Amino acid sequence: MISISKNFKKPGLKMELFLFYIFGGIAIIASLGLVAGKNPVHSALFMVVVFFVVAALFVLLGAEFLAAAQILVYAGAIMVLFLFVIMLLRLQKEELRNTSRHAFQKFFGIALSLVFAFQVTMIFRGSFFKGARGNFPPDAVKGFGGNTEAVAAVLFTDYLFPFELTSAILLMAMVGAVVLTKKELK
Amino acid sequence: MINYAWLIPLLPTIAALINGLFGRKYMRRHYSDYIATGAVMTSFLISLIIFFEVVSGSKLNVNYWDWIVSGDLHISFGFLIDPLTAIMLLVVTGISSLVHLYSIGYMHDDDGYYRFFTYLSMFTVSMLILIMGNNYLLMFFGWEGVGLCSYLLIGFWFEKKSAGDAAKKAFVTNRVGDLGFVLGLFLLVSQFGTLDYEQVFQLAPTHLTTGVATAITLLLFVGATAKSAQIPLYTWLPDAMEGPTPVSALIHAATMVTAGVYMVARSHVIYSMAPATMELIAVVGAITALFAATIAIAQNDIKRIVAYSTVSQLGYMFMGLGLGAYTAGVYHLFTHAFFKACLFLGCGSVIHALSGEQDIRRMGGLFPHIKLTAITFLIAALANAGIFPFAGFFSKDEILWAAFSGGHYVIWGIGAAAAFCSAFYMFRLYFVTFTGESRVDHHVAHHIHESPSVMTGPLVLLAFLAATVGALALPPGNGFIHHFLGNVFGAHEHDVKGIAAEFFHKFAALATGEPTAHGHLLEYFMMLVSLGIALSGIGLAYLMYYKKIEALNPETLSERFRLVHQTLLNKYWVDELYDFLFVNPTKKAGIELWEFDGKVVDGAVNGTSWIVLIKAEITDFLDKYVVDGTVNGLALFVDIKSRVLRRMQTGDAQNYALVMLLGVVFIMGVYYFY
Amino acid sequence: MATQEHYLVLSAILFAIGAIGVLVRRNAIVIFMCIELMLNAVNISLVAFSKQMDSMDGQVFVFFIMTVAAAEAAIGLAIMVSLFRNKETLNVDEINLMKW
Repeated sequence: MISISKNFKKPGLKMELFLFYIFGGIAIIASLGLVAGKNPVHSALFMVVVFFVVAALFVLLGAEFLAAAQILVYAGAIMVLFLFVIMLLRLQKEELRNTSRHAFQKFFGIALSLVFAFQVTMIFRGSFFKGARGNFPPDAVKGFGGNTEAVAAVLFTDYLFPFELTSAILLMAMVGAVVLTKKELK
Repeated sequence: MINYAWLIPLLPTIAALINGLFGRKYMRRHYSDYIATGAVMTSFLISLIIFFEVVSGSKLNVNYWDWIVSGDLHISFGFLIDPLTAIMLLVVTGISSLVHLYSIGYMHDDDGYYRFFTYLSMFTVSMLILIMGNNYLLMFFGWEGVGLCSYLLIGFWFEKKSAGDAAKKAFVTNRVGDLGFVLGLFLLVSQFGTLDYEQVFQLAPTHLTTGVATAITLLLFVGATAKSAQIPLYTWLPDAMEGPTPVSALIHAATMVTAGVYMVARSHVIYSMAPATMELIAVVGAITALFAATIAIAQNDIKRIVAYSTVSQLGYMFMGLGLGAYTAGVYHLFTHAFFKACLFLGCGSVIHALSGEQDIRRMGGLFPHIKLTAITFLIAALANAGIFPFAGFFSKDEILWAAFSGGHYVIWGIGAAAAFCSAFYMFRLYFVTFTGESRVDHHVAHHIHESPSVMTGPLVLLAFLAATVGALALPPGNGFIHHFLGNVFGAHEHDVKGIAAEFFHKFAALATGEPTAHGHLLEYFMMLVSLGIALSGIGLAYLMYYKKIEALNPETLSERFRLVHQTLLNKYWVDELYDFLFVNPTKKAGIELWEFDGKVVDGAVNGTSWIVLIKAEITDFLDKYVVDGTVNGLALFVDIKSRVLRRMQTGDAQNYALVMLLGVVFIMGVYYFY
Repeated sequence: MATQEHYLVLSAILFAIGAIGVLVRRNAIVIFMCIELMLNAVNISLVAFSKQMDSMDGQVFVFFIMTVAAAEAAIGLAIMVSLFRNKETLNVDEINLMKW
């Protein structure tokens, strides 16, 4: 891991843009497939594609640690969980029932979401985030020995307490999942 | 010891955690009270030590850790202990300890024993954070915490519908106020970029214009009107009496409802910069004092009488604050906590003795049976009425004096009238409950019994304090309390030199030939006046309810002044008015919005019929309620309307999500275009 | 080169697609996947900001979001399993118990 991030060669500028469009395009197509698919298993497979592509985007952004974590946690653990549950429950295909409320919901749901995406795009045009820069410009990250070390340097100092709390969250989730799926609750 | 102040809220926190997590299954019943009461009492001892350290000049302002850091905004979790906090600490932990003790006896048959003590400890923690925090956000944290605990405790007997309704009413009313409070905080952040008391108060005199200061103080005061039950948001407090009586004593009399007073006193630097707000506070306080006192005269439920009395006394406190007499206001808070807690606990003892009876028309002649309760109740009632050596006299008189000497004669007049009413209703309550012939139910009459000593102990202690803490204000205007709180309020304290004071000052100088008589003669004279007012109130109650003079027979009087009596008995129909003005239109608007979907065409028709409907309702309203004050019609109306309203809750989570997205898009739009 | 704007716009598009899924699909599991998609979209924007601002905080937040997402997936899917046991369906139209 560490050696990868140290010796990882950054793609050229042109190349980076090209890769971005490739990955971005795949992400959008796959997520459309996820939303439109009628069979939950198909949706789940599209989801895996999205997770991998997002990991690739993380690499492009220089967040190698997160890319690895993304693949381990999302594509590895969470997706397996999803597929497992889908298989376990033997879900049928979604029935189509076009009541007026569904049509209403569909129309306004899609319209509002598009408006939302448009708004965000408009707001993000032109960089307006002019706040103070942090302590980790690319050179400093290199000085730490790579992205993973830099994340660790922050995570285990400023965010130590929240980091410890996440272990409590995971423990609670584990206990909760066991309790919820137990056959009988007393 | 002052450096260990963090122990004070920590101990009840631990108690609440232990009771809450393990109380139901793993603990023997009476361990919960040992833990909760022990923790609070230890907190009280620490507070007491800290109080004496503060008296000798210590002060604490310490940040324990960063709570919220976001950009330039930096809010820490820290405590500030100055004389104001120290005195609040004594009140909160002291009353809380006694109420915990009392609850051991009062609640001992209740199934939710551990739950009750958990909530009580949680409340104490929230209240302590409210008063100890060194920034506004921490105060808000406590503010919301006490609101939550108040909700939980009012609805403690949630299987009773009225209790659940009262809890909801209190919660929703407080949300209205909290909106104002939050907006006030936003404004503070936008002005100062910090919420830390010390920084805000340091920057305020140079950074605030009068207009902004007025806006901030008004918004904060909106929060105070809800929490401290002032007009127009006081209606939840009398309903809050559905909770167990110790809760009424602790939360709805001695501590939580005084949070608004504390907030204004704490922010006195900003308030002093906004004379318009001050004027408003004084007027609202004075009107609330009189309004609630008149309602209390006609009520028949023992706890409701005391509840309206609380609203009235809170009005006095705000009157004092609004007049710039911060010390007097806080001092009244201090004395009021003791005598009102004593009154409520006394009520609880009476109710306990009568196996749950609350209607004073079915009491009477209780004195020989429950002597100790009756005597402590009498002492607290004297303090509430403002009779000479008892505590209430000094604090109330100081507020009235501030009004008179400041030249606010109208406010003084209202306050004096309210003082007369308070003396009257207090002693109406006393005479009807404890003297005369017994009107108690036969079944109940057999086992009237004095409460166990764990209940009477706190009563005696509180009565003793109610009788004596007045000494802190001696000599008038120059006592211990004035010097102590003067450290906090300092230059902002109201200047006791009004027009009248000048006049009488000259008069006094002429009469005594001593030019340096600092208006004291007048002050003593006014003390006599207010004492006379209180005594005449008691005298009237004595004639009407003890001597039962024929000319003053309450029944014939209420017959003759039927309109007045009905108005007071029905609390000026304010609840009904609010239902009509706010509750129902809100529900109606919800329905209309829902029906808008798919019914746009019918809109015009509906609109017309709506207007007709409203007109009909107004006529209906005048017809039914102003004439005979029946509530049934309105209740039915609400019921029918709410059945329609329920359809808006489709139960479809996606539908709710859609509405949420609509909100997000709206806010983004606003952000983009401005 | 791909600037921050590119990533932010991509993130907005993915987020909107996820939101559409949450709003119109009727299968609870698919809805749940769409929520994960929205979380991922937000993660992209956080990392993009983190790069732009030369700060590691954004990446740490993504790390936390992943942790919470994992916990959420475990709990959420457990709820689905017990829901399916009781109702024999995961169609949200038939599990709308939040009304009168």
